[in-house]
Amino acid sequence: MSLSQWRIDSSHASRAARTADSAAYSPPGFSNVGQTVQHHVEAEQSSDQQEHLMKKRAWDVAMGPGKSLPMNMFMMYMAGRSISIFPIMMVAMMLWRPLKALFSVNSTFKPLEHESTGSLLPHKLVFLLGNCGVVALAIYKIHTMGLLPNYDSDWLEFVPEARRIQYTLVGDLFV
Amino acid sequence: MKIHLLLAGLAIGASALYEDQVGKFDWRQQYVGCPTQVQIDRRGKLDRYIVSTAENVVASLSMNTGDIVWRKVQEDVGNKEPKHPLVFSGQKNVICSVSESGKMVRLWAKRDGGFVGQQLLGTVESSHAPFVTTTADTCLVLSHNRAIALSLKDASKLWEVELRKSDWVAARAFDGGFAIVGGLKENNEVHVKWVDTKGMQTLNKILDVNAFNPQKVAFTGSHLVGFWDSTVYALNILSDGPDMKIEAKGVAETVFETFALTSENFVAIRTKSRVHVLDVIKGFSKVFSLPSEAEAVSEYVNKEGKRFLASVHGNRLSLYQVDGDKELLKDVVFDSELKRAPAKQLIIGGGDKEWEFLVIGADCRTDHVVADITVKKAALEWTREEGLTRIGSVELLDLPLSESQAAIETEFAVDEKNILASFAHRIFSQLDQFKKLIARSADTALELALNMKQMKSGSFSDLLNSVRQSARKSHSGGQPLERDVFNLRKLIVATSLGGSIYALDNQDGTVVWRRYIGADIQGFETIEGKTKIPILVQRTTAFYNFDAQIVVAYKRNGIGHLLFLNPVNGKEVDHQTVDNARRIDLLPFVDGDHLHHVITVDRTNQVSIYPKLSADAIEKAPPVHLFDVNSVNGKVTGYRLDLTTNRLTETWAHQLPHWEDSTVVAIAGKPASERTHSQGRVLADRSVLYKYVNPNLIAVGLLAKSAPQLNIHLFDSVTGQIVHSARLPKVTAPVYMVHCENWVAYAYWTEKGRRTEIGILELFEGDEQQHVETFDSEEPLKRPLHVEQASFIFSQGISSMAVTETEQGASNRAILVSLPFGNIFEVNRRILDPLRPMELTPEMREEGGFIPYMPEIPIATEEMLNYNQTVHHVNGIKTAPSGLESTSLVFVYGLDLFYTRATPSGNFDVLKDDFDHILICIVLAALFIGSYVCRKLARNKALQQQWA
Repeated sequence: MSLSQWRIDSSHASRAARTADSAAYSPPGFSNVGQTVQHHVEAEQSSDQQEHLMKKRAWDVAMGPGKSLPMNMFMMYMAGRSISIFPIMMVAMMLWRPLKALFSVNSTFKPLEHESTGSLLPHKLVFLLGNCGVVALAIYKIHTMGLLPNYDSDWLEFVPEARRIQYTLVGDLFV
Repeated sequence: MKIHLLLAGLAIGASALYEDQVGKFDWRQQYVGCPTQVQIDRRGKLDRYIVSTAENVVASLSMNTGDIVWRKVQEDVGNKEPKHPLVFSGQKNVICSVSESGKMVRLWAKRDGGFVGQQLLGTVESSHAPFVTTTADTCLVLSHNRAIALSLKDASKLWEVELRKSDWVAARAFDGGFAIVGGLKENNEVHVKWVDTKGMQTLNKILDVNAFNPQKVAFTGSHLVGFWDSTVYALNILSDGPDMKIEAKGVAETVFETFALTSENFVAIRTKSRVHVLDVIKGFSKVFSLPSEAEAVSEYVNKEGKRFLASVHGNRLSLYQVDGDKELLKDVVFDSELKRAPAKQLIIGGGDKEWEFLVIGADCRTDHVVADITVKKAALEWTREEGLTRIGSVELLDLPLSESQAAIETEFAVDEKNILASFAHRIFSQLDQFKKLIARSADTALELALNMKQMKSGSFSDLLNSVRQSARKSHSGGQPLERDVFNLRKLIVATSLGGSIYALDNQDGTVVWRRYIGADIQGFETIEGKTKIPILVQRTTAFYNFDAQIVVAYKRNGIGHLLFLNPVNGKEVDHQTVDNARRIDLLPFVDGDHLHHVITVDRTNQVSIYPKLSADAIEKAPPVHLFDVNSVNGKVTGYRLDLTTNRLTETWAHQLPHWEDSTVVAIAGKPASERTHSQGRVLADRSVLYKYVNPNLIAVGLLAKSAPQLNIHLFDSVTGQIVHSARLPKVTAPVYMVHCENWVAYAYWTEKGRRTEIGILELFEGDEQQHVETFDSEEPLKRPLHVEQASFIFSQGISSMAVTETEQGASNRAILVSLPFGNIFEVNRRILDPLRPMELTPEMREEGGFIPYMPEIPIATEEMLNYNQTVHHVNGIKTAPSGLESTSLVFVYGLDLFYTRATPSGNFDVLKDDFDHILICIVLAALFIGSYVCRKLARNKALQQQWA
């Protein structure tokens, strides 16, 4: 406690010093103007590149789920049809991730929103389709594992007993 | 493949008992049957009764406790009494018994029932009642009109002598050999033959009698004593030469019965009013007359040669000394029960001060009475309910709601008109329930505390044991008759062909109440040839504001009687008589009192309903149909019941094929209460094969005699349509059939394979369900039925067959089979399944649950429901659902009674039996307390550290 009774804020001081003397201490022959021009040119160039990159990145993001489809297919093939903890976990993850992604389309594309990239609607659509594809793959996998109640046999226990219309007396017949 | 089968078998057989569960859910009661002959065995310290019974059993009963010391069960006589009861005679060490109406002689050691030897006398029943007498080394058997002497050492035949044709025989040993006497009714003759110990005839004499009747003779000592009208005659078979003649004398009154007494030369006759003792030698002079009426009389000679006479009337016992004409006991009450069956037989065990008596009632109840002649008091020491060996019908009934359950019912029973009042009512009733709960838990706590106080050593395991014991104590015994949580406790109501109705507690088999209807009653003969005294449950105990009601139907002198009873206490509610009843059943619907009405149909198809139906009930009644199989002409007829006119209108009729040389072996319908939970079967490709569950389906089994074959016809009793017919060639009796849900299982003996087989026939509608919401028999089937059939080898004989029943019908069914060597075997429907595949395909293996077909039904000892508690001469198996879906209650009756629980799908809805609630509770409590204490300690420690 006693040590922190006073202190020097060096960062604060140095910044003040730098801003104060930035113009005065320029070396001879140094032109601030030229530099800005060059900077301008470079900025123009880089903003083009940036735009391109942004678009590319947006498409990358949009195509991501679609691209992972073959890989997922292979994984599912490898997982097998037996119902045990690991295949179940894998399938559940496979179902869960795209579902989560489906509900966060806007937040996924939020960092890519820029006037340069323009409308992201097609990207979002592709992204949606890709995710849907993965979900469909997962559901197909669940189906092949027999976990989907889509057979009559799965609903058999809910079929009620038929009500009888007529009654018959079935007691013993005596001689 | 073998491994698969083994695994499947293991998976199914996992319901076997553990050693510590023995006797936990099950009990067995062993009986000997209705005693016909009793001897007293007083050698050594243990006094015993040696009895032979109508059920072909020779047994030794302990005189002190009434327990069976040893019991020798011989050939099964079925539901019917044998033509001639088993007779026996014993000397000091060996008993010689003649069973199966004279077919078989067996020798038994008297003390331990050890088998000494046997000899087959014939393959047919003897025309006359067999007789047996013993000397020190020989056993003389009179059977099939022959006298056969057997060695008592090894049952080897010593000699054999032909006798004249007779319908009554007796013999007596004397110094030089045996004197054999016989009589023939049609010739009115009596013949006497003397045979020496080597089998040589020394005397042969034929005498004429005025009227010889095998029912009206007795054999006492050396005398044959008989009577006609009011004349008594006697013949001394030991008097030689011209002395041997029949002496006759008229008595004042008509004689009803003569019976032998223990002492020689004396005979008792029963006239209309009295029993008299006559001295045969002194010209039939009256020695003694019983001063009062008597149902059974017996004589006893003590060591000093004094003669005593005892008689029973109702629940009173009298004892007289004959010589001094002294009255030792006079009408001493030995049983508080007033409505006792009349005594059939009385045996005097004798004694000095305390006399022992054995009273055998007409309903086979056997009472051991000890009477003190100084204080003139008698007491019932033990009772054996031997009438339970001849059960005519059984029902398992729910017990009435307990007090707390009824309180819950009343809590919601208030009409909803006044909200405030009903709210107050609910509050008060809940307060009441809470009060009761507190009182009950206080009681248990007190008991626990007392137990702990008694405990000496304070180890943890002792504490646990005492807690467990007190928990167990509060669960069993001494409780009032009320329903438990899972409705596992039931009342077994059984009718005995001996003439009584019994109610047993299913927890331990104790008799809750007993009601004697009369030894002269008969059961109803069914077409299949069984004798039944049907019990019908009119109202269960499910309604707390109405008493339960059952009806018992029996015949007396050919007239049918309906006895309406409250099954909980056995009190009579009503009584009706019905004439010529061919059918006694319950109407499938209830009236306003939740009561199923009893319907009787007589030979002329006249319908009577008890009690009468109200107009309202008739209006609401669903259509009711009946069917009838005529055992004379083989016609099957369907009727529709018209409740307004109480008439039957014929709807269909057809002739049973091959009726002429066939017998009906089984008619099996399905009870209205039966439930089918699953409407289909799932196949390997996950498609569904829908079941054809026709509640009106009747299965009839016909056994053809000339060309042995079994025909099974399944027909709809509403329309008469034959749904399916099956023919099994080269099949003979015994046939047993079970009809349930959409399948029929049948056990039979195949001549071709010379083995017992169980067949199963299952009906399916196909892959589309036709009867979805309602089942209407009138609606024709859209597609032909899909019938699956299979048969399996059963490597044991079968003596009875039944199927388990559960509340919702969701558990697997199992077929219970009683085996002749005394076990009850459970065959799961998964094994007895016509859809078992011939070979397992990969898909099936993946789906699981398929057991490939194997011709044999494996008999695993773990699946014996009664493990080593064998039961003999099983007549039937009764199953009933409990409150737990997994559990079916099983009651097996025959010579022995056995009760247990069956869980064909395993105990899926209850915790394991050894689940330790108490330990878990204690551990949990300890953890909670521990964590609290530890938190406090830790806080203290932290504080102290900071101060340090």
